[in-house]
Amino acid sequence: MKNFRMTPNKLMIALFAAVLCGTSLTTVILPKKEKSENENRYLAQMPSVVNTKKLQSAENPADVWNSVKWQYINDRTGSAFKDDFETYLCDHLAGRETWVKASNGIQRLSGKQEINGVYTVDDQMIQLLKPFDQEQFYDNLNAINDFAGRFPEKQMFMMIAPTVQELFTNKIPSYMDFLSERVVIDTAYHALTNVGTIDCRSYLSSSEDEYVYYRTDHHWTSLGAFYAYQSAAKALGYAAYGYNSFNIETASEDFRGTLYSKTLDDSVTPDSIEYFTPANNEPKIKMTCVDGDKVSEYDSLYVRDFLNEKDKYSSFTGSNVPLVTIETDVENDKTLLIVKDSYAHSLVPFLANHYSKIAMVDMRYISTDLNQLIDLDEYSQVLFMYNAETFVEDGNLTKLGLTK
Amino acid sequence: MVFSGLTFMLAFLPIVLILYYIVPKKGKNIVILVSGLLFYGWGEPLYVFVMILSTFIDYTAGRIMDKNDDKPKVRTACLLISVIMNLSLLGIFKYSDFLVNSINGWFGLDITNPFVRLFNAMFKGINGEIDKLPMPIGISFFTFQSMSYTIDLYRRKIKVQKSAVSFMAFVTLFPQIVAGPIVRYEDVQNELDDRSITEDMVGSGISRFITGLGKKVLIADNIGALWDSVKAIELSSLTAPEAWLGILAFTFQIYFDFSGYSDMAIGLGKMMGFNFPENFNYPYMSKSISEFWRRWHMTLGGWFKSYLYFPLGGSRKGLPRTVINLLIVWTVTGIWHGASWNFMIWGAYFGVLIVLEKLFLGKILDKIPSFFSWLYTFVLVVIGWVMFDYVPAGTVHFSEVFGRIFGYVGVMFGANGFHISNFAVNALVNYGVIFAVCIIGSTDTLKRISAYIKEKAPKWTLYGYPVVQTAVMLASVAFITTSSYHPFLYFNF
Repeated sequence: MKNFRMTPNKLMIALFAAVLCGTSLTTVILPKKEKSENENRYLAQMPSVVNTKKLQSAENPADVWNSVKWQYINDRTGSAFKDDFETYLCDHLAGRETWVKASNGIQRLSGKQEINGVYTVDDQMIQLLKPFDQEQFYDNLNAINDFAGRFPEKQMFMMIAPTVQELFTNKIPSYMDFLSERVVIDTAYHALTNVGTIDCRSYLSSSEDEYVYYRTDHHWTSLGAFYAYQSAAKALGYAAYGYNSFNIETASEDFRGTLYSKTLDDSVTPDSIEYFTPANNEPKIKMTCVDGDKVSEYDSLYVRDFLNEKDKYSSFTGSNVPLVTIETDVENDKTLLIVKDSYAHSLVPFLANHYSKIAMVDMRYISTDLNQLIDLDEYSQVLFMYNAETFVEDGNLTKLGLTK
Repeated sequence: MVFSGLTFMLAFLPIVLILYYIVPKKGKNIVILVSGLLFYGWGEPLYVFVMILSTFIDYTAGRIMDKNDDKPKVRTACLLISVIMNLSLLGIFKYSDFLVNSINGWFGLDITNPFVRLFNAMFKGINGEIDKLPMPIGISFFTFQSMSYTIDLYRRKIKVQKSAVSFMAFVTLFPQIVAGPIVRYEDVQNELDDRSITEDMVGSGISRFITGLGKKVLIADNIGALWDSVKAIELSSLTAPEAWLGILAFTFQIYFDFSGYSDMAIGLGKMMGFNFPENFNYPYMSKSISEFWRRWHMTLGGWFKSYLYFPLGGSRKGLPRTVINLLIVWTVTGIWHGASWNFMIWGAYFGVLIVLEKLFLGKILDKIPSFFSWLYTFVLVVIGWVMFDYVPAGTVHFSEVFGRIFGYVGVMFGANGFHISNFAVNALVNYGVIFAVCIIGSTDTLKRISAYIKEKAPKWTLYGYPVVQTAVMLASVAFITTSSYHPFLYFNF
């Protein structure tokens, strides 16, 4: 290489070759991940144009021909082999999340204020409430009204929790594309009949400087849930325990939640997860999580295994499953059925101090009469617990109509 | 296959380029041919055979024409076969559905396109049943390219291509196969058989490719999102600022998308030793519509000029014929862009404007301050984009087509008032930087700065270009990857 002289063109060629071949080779060599923790999904698998089973059992050329997935090759609706192959490459590109972080960073630099529907201000990620299907919203309310009408002997309550957007409304530019959760909650409460409404906003909104919502996750913190519990207890008919009656344990200090997963923005401080346990008279717990045939039992409401995973919020009574029942040694005959989304998971540890039995059902994973899962007669109180965003979006509440 | 995908950039391109560079000179056209068929067949596994067949017919027509040099009738017959075949392919695959739908729509009939039936009868087993004839990607480009060969051969402008491989390589040359520039045979005839690949060509080719990639991925796709959200707003509630922001977004989207694609093609061509013709020359700086069309999609304008306008007589047969010829050429240009009435209207609109400029407007434009002639051109081009993209595909009734176009243009000029909505403010905040980049990128500012640097600045600064270009490439890959990043709040396992 005696005569080698560097030129701008040579540098261009070298850099281009290095980036393309480097990225390409590392992608080929690196082991493939099965799932993406941050996206909460399985990554694409290498697609194939032949049906291997058919090919192996092929006896003549016609069978071989038939083992090729011709329609899959020729498809024009965006789900052909070539499309799946591109998805496969994108899903398994070496250093994928670093690429995504880079592009999100460039987007922010260019003035984009929302990444994947998340707005970040003052070390706080906020998922904005987007215009939603009004019909769905009223269908959900009607489903609850109908349900209440069918079981007049039960006390019914509804609590729609605002998300952090409500607390930060004045920090979000008014021209941004989002709806007021306050209006949504008021409208919903107005439309409910025979259902007691629990307004947890007064506590939450007066605690602006407190840590009531996670910075990187769409849920409320244990403290936020504690305030909601103060409001709920009043309506449900008992005196809530005060702040000082709880021992508070910091279970994790490096929780990055769902909103982090959407933006991969490392600049926001990771969250801490706190467990509130009664200082005195901590009830004995038997918690049973039922997901089809999979039944898991715990003697605590906190499933600490999740603290070692990405999804640390699920350490509150486990991940979302169709049914969770909680039996306590609290000596009263009070029972509560909670029809809920995941906001209820950090609220339940407070409520458990006041009931001998609680059942949590998640309508998103249930498509039958509730009586097939639980004995509805056992429960004297029913609490519908949703956050505003899930409530307007969710299309599963109407399945309550299956319960007679 | 598209250039702006990982399949192309991380798998196809590195492998093909390495092969191409290590194979000896004689074999390079075979690499082009095979890679071109793979490139095209990846997206069109079925229609790749249509392309092979049509190329083969054009090649054979050329050979027969050449062998019968002294028999005018045979030569004419060969030309006719080639032209009729190419135009029939276009007619069947691009326009037959449109024609049948329009007739059905106007007369309330329910005729099925016979070609759809034929397609289903032949390919149902491997393609599934269709009710609309799928159009082969790039058919408007490769038919025009092949035709340029037989027509020019007939005119004795070029020499026959004896090698079937070289001719196939010309048509399947993957950089330009699906979206141009429309490379005529005469543009590359010498390079096809003998080309040199220099360090300078590869280096500047890479740089050009990356420029195009950045234009497409970082700018066009980005600002296109704004146009999509404006299109989603009901026309009745759209306000003037929103309408302008939307159509300006599209104005830039289509320019950066299309010229970016041409840049990528030209760059890839250079990397392989070809010099393709330029396709865009800062069209939004034009000061008349005639000038705009000399700067926009230049290879298409050139093609129609050589093979339609001049044969019709051009401007040599008196003013009335010139006017008619211009209107014909522009209406055909319009409909070339898509089988839909709005494209025809769009083309005719420019035809009328160009005729007016030829008659008297051109003289006025020359006299007024250049800012006003630029403004006149730009606003009319932008209104043209409303015709181009605001009419849903498959609209056959003229009342609907014109209703959409006039409705939108009306809103732009205040039919629904000039209220500055939250949407408009939001768009300005979120897209302000991109708009600024688009405006600068549509002018020759950067080119001039770069020329200045090359002349005046110290030599080492030239090493800055490859570094910047590499950053652009990395950012583009990041954007492509991110489009596949889909987080789910609830489990999707």
